[in-house]
Amino acid sequence: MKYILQLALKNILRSKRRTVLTFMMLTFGVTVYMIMSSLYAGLDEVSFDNLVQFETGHVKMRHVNFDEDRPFSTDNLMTQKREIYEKIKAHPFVRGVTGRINLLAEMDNGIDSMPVVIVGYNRQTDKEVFELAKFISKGQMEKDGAVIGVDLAKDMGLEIGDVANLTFRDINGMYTALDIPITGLLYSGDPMANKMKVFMDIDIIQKSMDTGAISEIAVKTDNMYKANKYAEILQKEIPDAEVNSWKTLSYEFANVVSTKKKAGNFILLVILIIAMVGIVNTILISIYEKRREIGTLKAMGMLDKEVRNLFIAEGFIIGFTGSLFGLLFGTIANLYFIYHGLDFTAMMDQMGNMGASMVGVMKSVWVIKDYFVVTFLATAASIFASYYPAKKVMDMQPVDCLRTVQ
Amino acid sequence: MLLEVKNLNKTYHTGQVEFKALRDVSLSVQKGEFTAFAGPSGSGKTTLLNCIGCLDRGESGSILLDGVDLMAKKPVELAHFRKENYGFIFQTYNLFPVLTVAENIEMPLKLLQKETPEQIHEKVMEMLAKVGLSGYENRRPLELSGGQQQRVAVARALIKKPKLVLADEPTANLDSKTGEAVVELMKELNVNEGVTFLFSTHDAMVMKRASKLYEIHDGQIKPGRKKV
Amino acid sequence: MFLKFAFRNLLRNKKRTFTSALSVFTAAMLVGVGYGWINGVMDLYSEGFIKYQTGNVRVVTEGYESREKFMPLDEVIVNADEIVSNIRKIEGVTSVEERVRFGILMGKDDNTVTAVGMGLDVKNNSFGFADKMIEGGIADHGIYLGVRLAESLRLKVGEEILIASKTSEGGLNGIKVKVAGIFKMKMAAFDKHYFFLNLADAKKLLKIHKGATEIYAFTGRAEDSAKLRDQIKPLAGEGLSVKTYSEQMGGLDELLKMMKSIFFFIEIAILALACFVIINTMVMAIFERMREIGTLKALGFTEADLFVIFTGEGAMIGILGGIPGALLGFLGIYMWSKTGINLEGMLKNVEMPIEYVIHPMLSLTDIFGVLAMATIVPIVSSMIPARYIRRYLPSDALRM
Repeated sequence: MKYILQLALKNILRSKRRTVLTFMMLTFGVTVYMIMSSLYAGLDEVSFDNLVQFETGHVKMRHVNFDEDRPFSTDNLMTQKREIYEKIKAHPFVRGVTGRINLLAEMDNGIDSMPVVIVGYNRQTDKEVFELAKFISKGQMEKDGAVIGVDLAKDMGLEIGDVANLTFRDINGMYTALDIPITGLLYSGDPMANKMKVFMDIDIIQKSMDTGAISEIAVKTDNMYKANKYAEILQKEIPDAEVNSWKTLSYEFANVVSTKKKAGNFILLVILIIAMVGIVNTILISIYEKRREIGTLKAMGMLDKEVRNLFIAEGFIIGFTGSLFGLLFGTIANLYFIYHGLDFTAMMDQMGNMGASMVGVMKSVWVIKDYFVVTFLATAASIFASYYPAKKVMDMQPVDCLRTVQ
Repeated sequence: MLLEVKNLNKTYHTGQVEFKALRDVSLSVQKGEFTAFAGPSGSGKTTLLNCIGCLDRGESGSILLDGVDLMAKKPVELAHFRKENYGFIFQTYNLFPVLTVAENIEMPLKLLQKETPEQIHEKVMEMLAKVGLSGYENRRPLELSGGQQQRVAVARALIKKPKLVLADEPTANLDSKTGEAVVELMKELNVNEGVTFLFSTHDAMVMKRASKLYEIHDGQIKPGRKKV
Repeated sequence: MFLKFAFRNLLRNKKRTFTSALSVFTAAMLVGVGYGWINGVMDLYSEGFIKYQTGNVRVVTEGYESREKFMPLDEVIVNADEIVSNIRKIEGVTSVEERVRFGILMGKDDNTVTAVGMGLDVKNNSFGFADKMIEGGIADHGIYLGVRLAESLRLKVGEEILIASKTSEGGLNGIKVKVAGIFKMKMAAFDKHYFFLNLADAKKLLKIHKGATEIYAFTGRAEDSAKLRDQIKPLAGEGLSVKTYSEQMGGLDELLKMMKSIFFFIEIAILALACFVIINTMVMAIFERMREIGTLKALGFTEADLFVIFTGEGAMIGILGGIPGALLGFLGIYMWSKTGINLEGMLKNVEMPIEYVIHPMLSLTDIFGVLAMATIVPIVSSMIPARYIRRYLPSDALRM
């Protein structure tokens, strides 16, 4: 086996130009795959984590008739009942429970106005479920202050210390106004939140709205990945509310990501096929050029199988080293993407919310699995690709091959 | 003097090793001759024939066909030259399996583009008769026996009445009886049509019929031993 | 004669010839279809934007532009009438519209939603919502709601609603209006958030006494937009911004154009891939026929002749596969363009001014381009293995 590999290596080094070309195709394919795979992984990680820590929690409970098309209707509000909280907390897997209220309002800076979403949160319990503090880029949350999205602040020309004027309808449908100082700026993974959200103490909101109701109860559990199961358990206990895990709530977003993934995989497949065809080509030419030698080897007593293996070894070497270099270049490229990232801000501005929770700058992450998968796949594909032409060598008769000798 | 070869040298360079295939070969061929080069394998007779047929190139010396120096010509010019002046017969016949017998034979004329299709057709039928294959015009080469294929090759070589026909071991792939028949045919054409033949061979039966015989050893023409 | 020779050689190994031609066929078809799609998508965007958001050219005050996201009402083009009638005189202009947009919170009973109101000529406008009404019809006064907006507020034709908005004077004003019609434009942005009313009523609500905040000019073709902008600029005067649709779209337009060229290269790559199969086939064929090549050379064929023969063979496979493939792709696109493809599922919540139904299409230039590619790429690919013929002296070739 080792001897065959040595022979194969020497053969490859003879026709450098052709080998290099095939080799480059494989390297290119692998590099592209590495970059895309890391990018998608980065996308996944950031988005879902952010989503859970900022918006959905692990499990969310809403009004049983919650209408997605009328999210800010007051019909969606639920009264806070102590029993519900206690039922939830009774489960050992529950780590935190909190209630929030969401409503649509208009913010005015004296000259212009914009629609915003006010989120009333409970200053004691919110941090048991969400990590709001993590997303505050400047200033802080205060009892009598509001934290608004950075882009919202920028658009309205407001800064910490300025007073925001908010108008909204209370539980009875009457318009009411509220002035509140800005004490912090929010920078989350969700560009829409940065443009629209205003966080403040739920007490203030409930008082202005003349109600004690809430829009949702969010729960943090001991294991994010078991959320579906936990949601089911809680749902059974509390039939007069709608209980969902973060996975269910984010399915639309997941759809977008998986569609993009499919497109990415398709492109990768095409690249791989091109590389493989290149290998088939190279091996074929290699075989025909060396007919005489094949005849000689066989005449000398090398088995058909062994001669075939010689050419498969050629394919393997090209494939293996090609993919190694691909991994190398891919790693170098990923270093840039992981630490610097890809800036999508311009595109996000125009396209608004595509249903995906992404920041403007996308950063890749390391996908260790790739290193093994790629090496394995590329090498296997190369061996597979060289098998068909190499098989032809088995049928070649020494006499026919040697006839070319004068 | 139809063909004159003077001090022809050909060396093969394989890697670091040099192999002198032809050393200072000189000879001459008259019109109408039926000449053979004889010698063992590796003696250089095929190389010599190839050089004369401008299929290969020597390093030094000169090859004059009808006064034209072949060594001075470029590959494109040589291709045209071959088209006009040479006919080839190969050991392995080298017919085109995708063409019929008639189409194989007419090819040299088609290349020259000097005659009308009707004229060409007439000549092809004539040629078929001469080599004893009338009625075979629409068969494919792979349907014929070795001897028949070689006769088609002869027809193809001669149809344009070339100045010189070069045959490299034409009987090597044929059994003795068939081989003899083919050589007889070529001799007939040589005598009746006056076509000059140049062979390379190690077949004694062929050598017997040659009007002139050169012996080649290790790339050199052995002096003496010429027959009339 | 060359052709006959080449053609018969192809028939020698039918299976090989067939598979090679098939792969080019598939690739060419994909390319044809892909191109049609990309065109369809790009058109969808640019036509959608032009018709429903930017017009071919738009005139606003510079102040309006800098505060665009607020739809400011204090940035009024006072002499809008004059400008509009001047633009109408320009050749090629199909329509000119004065509009006023304003953003409000609309509330009814339990629900509050964000909405954008637009005052315009309800009978003649680029939205054509009058033709897309599913309930009610055009009346002298009243508002016309997007179907999803109506649903979320549970409003029906004939019902009344209070609309309150900031005015251009800075204060607040409200009017009670009847819902005259409900439209379905099959675009999330409009069906979910927009309502229309006639310009006069809007101006009354917003206390705009003279002029309008936006002027939109339309011509027949997107390509004429730049020229129109240059013709309008002198009419507009100081302090006004005149921009074409692509200038208004900014980065998005650039992105789309870039996507189109990337796609073009991807398609060449796909075709080249298919041609790899041809290269493969030809390489094998050449090596198998080395002796024939030597014979041909002996007979007097020049290298140029042989190059032509072999390139011709490869090209024939490619073209015989490629052209039918491309034509089949064109047929597919043609049929799709008639029926359109409904992307509602995917675009339902994307709030861009593009319709759900995409009509892939191919212009004559595109068809030419794809056919040319389907012809050129196989020919060029064939030349690569045909080069191998050069290397061998006749004597070497004969030896094989």
